[in-house]
Amino acid sequence: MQTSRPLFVPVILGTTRQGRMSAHAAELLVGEIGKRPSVDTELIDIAELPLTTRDAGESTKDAGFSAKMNKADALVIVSPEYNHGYSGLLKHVLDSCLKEYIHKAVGIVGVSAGPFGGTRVIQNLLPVMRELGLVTIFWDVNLAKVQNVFSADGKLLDEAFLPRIDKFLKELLWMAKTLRQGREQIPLD
Amino acid sequence: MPETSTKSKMICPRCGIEMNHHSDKLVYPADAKDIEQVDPDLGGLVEEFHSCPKCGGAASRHSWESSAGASATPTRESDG
Repeated sequence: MQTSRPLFVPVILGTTRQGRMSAHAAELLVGEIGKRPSVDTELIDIAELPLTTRDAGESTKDAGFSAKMNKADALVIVSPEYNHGYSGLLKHVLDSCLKEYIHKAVGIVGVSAGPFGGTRVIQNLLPVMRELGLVTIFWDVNLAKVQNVFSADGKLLDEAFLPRIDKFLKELLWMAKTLRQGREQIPLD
Repeated sequence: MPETSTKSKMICPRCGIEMNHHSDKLVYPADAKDIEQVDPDLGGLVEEFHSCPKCGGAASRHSWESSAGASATPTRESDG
């Protein structure tokens, strides 16, 4: 196993909506991942990706996004819940890759203005993750009433979320290390 | 008989070493030329996924491209 290569765990901000509170959540996750030794991260804002909407699937692949997914050992997806579902543009972006995801870990952060913390969007994303070859973990982060969780400038107002994020990341990183070993060392046959 | 005994290894385009074949996925063809390659038992095409033990890069190819004598160069090599 290549122990000298740090894990790469980017955070995907899965909405393009103006005034999105999920951006604060994504920045919080980037900060918390960045505190971990031997783990690199960065924010991937789907609003910044130059994907066409005149086609769909892998034919829309953006080289930069593909390279980051290829390098990634795990993903954190921060998704708001819109009408009980995920953003159509998040799905459009995710569908642009496949081989880049296979046997990599994913954790989901659900964000909502209401009291359920994105539980429904997380449930809706799980079968999509599975079909993309990603391996889901059993910890989620649920940010309910997100307008009360962050200040207008993105400061976390309730530090009770930090222990849960810690558990979420520990599980995700364990899975990332384990799956890297599997991808690179354990043959299918 | 293990399939690996008749298959060529993919070679990482960055590191030049053999990649590890760690996953197969059943995909359904959209192009007419690919329909000819459908596995009648599985009902779709088998796509293989490989990772480089050194750099971690990913690559894939259709399973029929991996038979002995086929090029070891990835057909859909890593973008990163």
